[in-house]
Amino acid sequence: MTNKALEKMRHHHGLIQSTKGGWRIGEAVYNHGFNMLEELVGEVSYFQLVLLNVTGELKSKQLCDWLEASYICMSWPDPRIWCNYIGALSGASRTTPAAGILAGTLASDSKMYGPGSLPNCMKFLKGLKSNLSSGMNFEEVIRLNRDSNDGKINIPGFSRPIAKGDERVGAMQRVGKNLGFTKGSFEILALEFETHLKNNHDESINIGGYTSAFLLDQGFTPETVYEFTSTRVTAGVQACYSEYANKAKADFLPLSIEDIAYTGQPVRQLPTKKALK
Amino acid sequence: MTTKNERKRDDVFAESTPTAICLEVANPTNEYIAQKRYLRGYDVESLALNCDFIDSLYLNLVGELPEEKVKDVLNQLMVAYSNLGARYVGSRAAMNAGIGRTNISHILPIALCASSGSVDGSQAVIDAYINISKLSKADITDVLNQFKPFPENDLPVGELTAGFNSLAGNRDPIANSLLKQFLKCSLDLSTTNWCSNIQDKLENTGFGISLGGLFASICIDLKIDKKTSLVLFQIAIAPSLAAFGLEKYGKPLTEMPFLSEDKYKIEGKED
Repeated sequence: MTNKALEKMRHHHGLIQSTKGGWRIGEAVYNHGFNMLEELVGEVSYFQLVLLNVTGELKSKQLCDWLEASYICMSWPDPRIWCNYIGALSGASRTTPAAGILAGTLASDSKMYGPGSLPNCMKFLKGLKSNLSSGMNFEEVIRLNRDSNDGKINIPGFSRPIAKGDERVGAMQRVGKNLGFTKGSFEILALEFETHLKNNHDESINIGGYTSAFLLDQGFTPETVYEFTSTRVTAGVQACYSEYANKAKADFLPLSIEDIAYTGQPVRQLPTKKALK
Repeated sequence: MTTKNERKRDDVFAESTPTAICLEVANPTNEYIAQKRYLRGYDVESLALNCDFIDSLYLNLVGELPEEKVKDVLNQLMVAYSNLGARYVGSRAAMNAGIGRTNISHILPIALCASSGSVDGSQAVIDAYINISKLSKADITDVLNQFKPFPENDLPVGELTAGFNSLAGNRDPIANSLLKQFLKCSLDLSTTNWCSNIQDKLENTGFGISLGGLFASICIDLKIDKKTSLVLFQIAIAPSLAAFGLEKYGKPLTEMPFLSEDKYKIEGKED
């Protein structure tokens, strides 16, 4: 009986094989065949580098400028937003910048908002296209969604906490137009679906849904998008961290005892050891 | 100017944050200072004098003090997982952070993040919890039939189903041994017993219960929910992650391997 798993581990033992690149001391830093310091530094944008590192392909400046703009859309300097709140708290408690800003960024790895929501948005749009191809209509897709969500419509990419509508979609449509992009099939589908939702259910597309449609049209997979969008709230967290790191210590939204509403067990005596047996 | 199409929802947000875990009693003259603190209704000072760490862990996460038998099993579980070895993903991350003189405060969170995945990490515990909870309600023969046929000429690679895996072609002997030990305890561990029955049927396949699967099955038997089980796993492994990170902190970089260039192959750049 062969043990391919063991053979594979022994083959990889003490060895790194990279398709990405690496440092050859005294020679160069290679990145996907490029000499990084001579051919990439000063020649490509940071977002071209990010996409090169994730996808292995040097994408167009046009696409990477779109991506950069979408990052700006996701980074608001408002500490009421969940991830930013953590940045502000961290700044006020003098956590180091890296820890505080990364803690906030990590909090955005959420299914409700942030990069963690994009794979589900993309899967929904792919499923929507497939459902329509197999003869379903928008309302039937919505009914399916409602049936699997205890009677509530909860469509990834087509609702938003706190507000209805999403000003970032219009901003990104403008960016796309200025950069010369034309609407692809997923964007057209997503906007048609939004029209139906708006007219019938008072919900509309959000930035996650729009970004997902655009990136599907660019040929990206949900897994790849999750990788290259993982830090897209960071600039907002940085703003909130920085503001409170430079104010008095512990000066972010101080809580009094009454700001916590205790709902638990009343004050009680510890049971005897015997009672716990 | 973008057209403003967005509007507020009618969500009603709480004026204060509710919690059932901790009560603080304000100082009579300063509402920002707590005069007394109660955990799930018990005075924390009394808890400190009369209880141990497992008591406070269970009280925090579950809401009541554990019964003695539950506590014994939970204590064994936490100790059994308190060190998964220096080769464990979280241990390696901790050592790497330590040797790189990362801020000491960050070593534990870094290691816990690195070991949060679905391969041997905390996500593996919740995946196993969900899977074992579902499978253990079905007939064992039907469950096993889902996995057949087993390869006849090759030993298996990776996961059979969440909670059961193979390590480099073989079942994990430590998980196997721990499983047997836990079944000797005085509590009725019916899910863990079911896992043991499945494992018996998997004899000679190379598959067996994984460490994540065992952790999940014990938690199911202790009636600890899946999210709490994941967090308990993180707390259980934390001491070793901290220890490995601290052991390396301040040591010279040369104390750990840094692959030479002949062991670091760059595709398209090899001689």
